[in-house]
Amino acid sequence: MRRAERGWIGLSGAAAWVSVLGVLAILYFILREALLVWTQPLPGEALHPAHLWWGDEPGPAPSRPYVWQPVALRPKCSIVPLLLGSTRVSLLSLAVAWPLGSLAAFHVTRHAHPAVRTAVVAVMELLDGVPTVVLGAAGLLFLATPLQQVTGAPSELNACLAAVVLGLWSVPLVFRMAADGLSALPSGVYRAARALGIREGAALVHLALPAGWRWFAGAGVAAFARAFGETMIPVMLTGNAAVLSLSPLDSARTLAGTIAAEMGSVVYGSTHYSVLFMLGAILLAVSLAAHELLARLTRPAPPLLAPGDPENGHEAVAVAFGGSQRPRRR
Amino acid sequence: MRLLRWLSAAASALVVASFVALVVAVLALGVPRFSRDFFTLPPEEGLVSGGILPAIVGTLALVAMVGLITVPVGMLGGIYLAAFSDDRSLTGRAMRWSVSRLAGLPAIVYGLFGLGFFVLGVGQQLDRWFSAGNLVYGQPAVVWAGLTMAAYTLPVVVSSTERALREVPPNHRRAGRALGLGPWDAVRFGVLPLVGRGVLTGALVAVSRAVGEVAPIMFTGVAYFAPSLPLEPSDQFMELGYHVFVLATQSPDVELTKPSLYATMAVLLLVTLALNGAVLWIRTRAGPGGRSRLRGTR
Repeated sequence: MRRAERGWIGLSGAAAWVSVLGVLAILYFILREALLVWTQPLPGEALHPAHLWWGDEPGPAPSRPYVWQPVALRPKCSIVPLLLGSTRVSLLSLAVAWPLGSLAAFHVTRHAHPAVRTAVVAVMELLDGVPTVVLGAAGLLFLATPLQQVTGAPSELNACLAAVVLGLWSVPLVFRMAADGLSALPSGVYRAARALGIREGAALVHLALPAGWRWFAGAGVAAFARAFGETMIPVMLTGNAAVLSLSPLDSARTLAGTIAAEMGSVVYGSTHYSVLFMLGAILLAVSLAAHELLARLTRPAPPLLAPGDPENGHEAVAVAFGGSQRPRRR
Repeated sequence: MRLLRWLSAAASALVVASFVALVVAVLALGVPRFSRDFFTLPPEEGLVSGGILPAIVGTLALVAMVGLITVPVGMLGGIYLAAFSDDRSLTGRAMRWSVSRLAGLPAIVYGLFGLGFFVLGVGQQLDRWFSAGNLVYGQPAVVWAGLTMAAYTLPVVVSSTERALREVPPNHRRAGRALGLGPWDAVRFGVLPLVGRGVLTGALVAVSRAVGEVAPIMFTGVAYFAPSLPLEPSDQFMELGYHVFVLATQSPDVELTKPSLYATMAVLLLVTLALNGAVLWIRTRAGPGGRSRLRGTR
């Protein structure tokens, strides 16, 4: 091998290692700064781990637990309202994005005229590229007031508004994965089912969903994880009040939104700074866990049927509708 | 069944209508404010008048960092993953796992990483060595924001390059090897010339993300107001996306700054739509690395 050859391959190998080192560096630096409060506590700023949950001294039950007030005479850093806020907003956004994206994928893959299909797919791709800060500002300018009039929420900025905009932002992601799920069923099997007189709805429920449910579930997981970690839309639209509430009409403060709103004004190395990195570590952990689940869900499943056997389609249809599988011919 | 059909068509229509309404509203309200001054002056009078020149220059600085760092590193990494790494070996799996997980991390996590690693780690160390304790690089600066953004966009380029290369039939490489080329040259002359589109779309998506995402730069260098252009790597800078955020949420007078907000949103929207439109246009022309997305979803 020429020396130049070896050099190029080595260089590209080093470039590929950058990603591995990047993951390790991100884990190390986020955790290091997050644990600073215990490894190098500032005098008088020691933080008991239980404070992160209760927000106040452990022991005798605090009068008002679960408070996020990191800048106060006696700082209270309870992550509970933030976790609740992030979860509430992301689940609500999922309630918008998941049906919209799945239905649009069903429409595009099964019924849309080719020209309509082209248009919808193009819009999905373009929508995916719209910056979240533009979506957030548009939500603030065009959607906040009308939505408040419809829902009657006490404030213009609330979890519901953020969820609608986050949902619209997540639709392309759900759409892509749901389209993959709908095309997981070989079209020959679908056509065989229809030729056998099985109605479209039954074919959908008994054939398409069993073949593609992993992608539909994966779409939900992916959209939830992305919304959970999104910063700009929640920070602009949720109202950012750390309240303990399950109502979609109340304000919410998310983990990512808290980091964005408070990191600009902290003293580097202080307890508050360190706690904000802990919030980042939670986001990191949720993202890694969700993508691990996603990878398991969308791992290529064993094929529904062996390719190349013309009778396979009928067999799969028969099995799906309760018939027994014929013994394989040798 | 008819209900499902009707509902699904309504869902498609709703998404398309929201997107069109967003684009039309932003452009209709923003474009009339465009003028030569808007693109050539810094903001004035508490962001009410003047232009967005520093924000445009700051955004271009980020794009330049992404182009100079992410695109070459990402391309080389993608080539290695597609052509030279063993998919079953531990290192090969570790690399592929890392790229896919990095792609999914929230942008704000990159922002924290940039603050902890570049600003307070590398930057403060540089200050200790070279500037005798004065604060030069150990604070948010355009160079740290650019590096953070480069890290944020890296997985996009790696995975799109890898995907494009894997779509070329292996016989292209085998033919090169049979003609006496080395393993690298077989890829360089037998495969790379065919994947230009795939690599280009990856780079364009990376640039579009760098232009649109705000969270990675929030604590690593962007400033609320920095009228002079970022000429030194240690300068703070303005950026289009952050400028939209500032005008929308921290404006001294919301009503007075609304025209600037609409116009800045229109600029940002036009740039990202152009970039993603170009990606769409390149992808829909079939060929290796440019899988036809519009004709059938798979």
